[in-house]
Amino acid sequence: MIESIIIQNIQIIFFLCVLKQYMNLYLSVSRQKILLLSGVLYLIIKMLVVIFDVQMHPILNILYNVSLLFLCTFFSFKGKLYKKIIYVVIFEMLWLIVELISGYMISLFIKGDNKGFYITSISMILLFTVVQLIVSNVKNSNKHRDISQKYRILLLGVPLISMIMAVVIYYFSEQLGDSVYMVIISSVSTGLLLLLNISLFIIYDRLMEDMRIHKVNMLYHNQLEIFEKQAEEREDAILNVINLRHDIKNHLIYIRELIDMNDRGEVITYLDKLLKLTLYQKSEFSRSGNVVLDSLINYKYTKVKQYNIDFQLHITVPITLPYEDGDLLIILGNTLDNAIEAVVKIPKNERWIMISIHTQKNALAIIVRNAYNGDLRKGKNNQLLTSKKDHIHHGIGLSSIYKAVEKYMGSIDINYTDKEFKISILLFKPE
Amino acid sequence: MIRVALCDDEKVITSKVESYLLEIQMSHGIEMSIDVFFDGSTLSSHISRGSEYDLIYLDIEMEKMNGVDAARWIREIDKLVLLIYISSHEIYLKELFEVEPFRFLGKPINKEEFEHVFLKAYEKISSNNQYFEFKYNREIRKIPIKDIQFFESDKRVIYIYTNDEMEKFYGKLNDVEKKLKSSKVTFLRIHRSYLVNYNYVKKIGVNSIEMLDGTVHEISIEQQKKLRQKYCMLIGGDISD
Repeated sequence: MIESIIIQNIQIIFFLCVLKQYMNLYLSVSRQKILLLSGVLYLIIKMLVVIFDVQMHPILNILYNVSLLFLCTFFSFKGKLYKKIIYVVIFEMLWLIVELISGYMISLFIKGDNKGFYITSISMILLFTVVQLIVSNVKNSNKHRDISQKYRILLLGVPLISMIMAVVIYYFSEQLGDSVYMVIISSVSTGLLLLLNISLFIIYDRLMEDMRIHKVNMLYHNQLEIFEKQAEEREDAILNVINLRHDIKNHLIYIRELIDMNDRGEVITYLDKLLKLTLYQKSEFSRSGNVVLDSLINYKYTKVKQYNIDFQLHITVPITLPYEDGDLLIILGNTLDNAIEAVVKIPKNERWIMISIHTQKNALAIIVRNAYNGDLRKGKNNQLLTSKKDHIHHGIGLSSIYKAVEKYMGSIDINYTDKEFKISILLFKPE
Repeated sequence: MIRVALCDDEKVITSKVESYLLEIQMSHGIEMSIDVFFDGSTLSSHISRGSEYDLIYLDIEMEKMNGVDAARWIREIDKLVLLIYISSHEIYLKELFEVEPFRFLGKPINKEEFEHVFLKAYEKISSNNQYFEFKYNREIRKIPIKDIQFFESDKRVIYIYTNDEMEKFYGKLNDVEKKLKSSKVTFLRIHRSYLVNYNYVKKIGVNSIEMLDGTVHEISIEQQKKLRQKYCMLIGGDISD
């Protein structure tokens, strides 16, 4: 009795290690102590069940296992509730199928009471192998990504259905006798179920990776467009300066003559004109030197020239910022888009937008104020809902801003009166 | 009366700024003293010998000691003086921001912008001239708020840390926080037992802040979210020109 308990404990500890490895793929560990504690608790409960020889109906057994696993992981790992449920169910399914297959194999060779020990040992090894397979093939650590709602049901449904199928196969095999053929058929079909699920993980993983790459590419594509525009304009401006240098002698001669004739006013006007011909074209509204911000602001500025918006810009930032270009584009780009959308709803000569971008105390502050006359809609979490008709598409702009700001643990503050709308965004310098 | 210093190696600029300042003195009735320096090292040595200023205009392209070095020197000695950078360049390197300039002014200096920036600076300086009163040993004492770096509470005792010394008195930090709300100086409650003067904060981070003298204070988890929102509002108000 004692040896079987010890052996069982060893198997359980091994099992828990495999469980941790699997869950660690998708969730981060909350606190090591809690993890250890849950493991010990699991061990104790399992031991008690054996000592008191509690018999359970197989379905009840599955439920009991799932709940135990869930309890184990609920406090030990950090993450959304639905994720924990899904991954625990998947793991339970893997375990169940693997045990069934081991059961079929062993029953071919060993009859009698100590079947149990062999079945458990083989299933541990199989489970370990399966988890290694998954771990080595899942390219993305899904720890931080949210599974979108439509996929959640699928992700839960497939393992559940697989478990049901596996149990059904088992029941049939029991009814139809012990022949070798029976065993082979049952284990192969159960094995196929396992293969099905493993391929599902791997396909899902690849799909997620593809989506991510696609998203990043889209962002780069936009960025490239904007930078190209900026580069074109700079080129034109530089040509201007080169011409200026050639003409300097002529300019100086003209100025000398003006001074000789005591035409002070004209001298000043002429010099002002020359001074304006710096490295910048008139259309270069934003000239902070920070390419990302300049290109974005200038792009938007030229795009909305027709709307007669009075733009004011105050920007003091270093030429490089410690934030990812893509994130800055998302945050500022979407914020500006929203401001422009709001402002065009206002009569022509009252349209204004004010942009302030400053670094202060190691943080970056972006403040956009615009003329405003409307009403706002708020959803849960007090997040702004879009007033646009196409909620789903345009709301993405706002939620993109929120997501990007969250990445830098920053915050967004929104203030509005019936005349003005102000959004203040703060980003902390990443460590 | 506010004490202003100008530092620029071009006489054209210094005389222009001086004249703008005098105009503001007349039109707004603001008393001020103006000291002019033509290079960074003279300015720094005056300051290290005890001259105090509330506001310094600093050209960052001077020949002898460039503005960034001068700014660093000055900050070593006076943590709170407002610095306004004057520059003909429109692009700024990271180093410039290390010393937290109050504003930037571009050359040629635009009169309206100059006045606007000056008035903002003036507002900030005058808000700093209030006192914090407290009672200890049956005496009522007072400390200028601008000298207070932070308050720390330990059970019922509150320690006031200023530039030179530490005072203490009995009280509750919640009451101190309430009292300070009426002054225009911002104090941050980063922790149940810490109340920090925003002007002495050099860097704000997600879970800690660094003071001008390098000390780091942890922000308690309960306060982190609240503070993030507060920074946003602070900076939004501070910078909205």
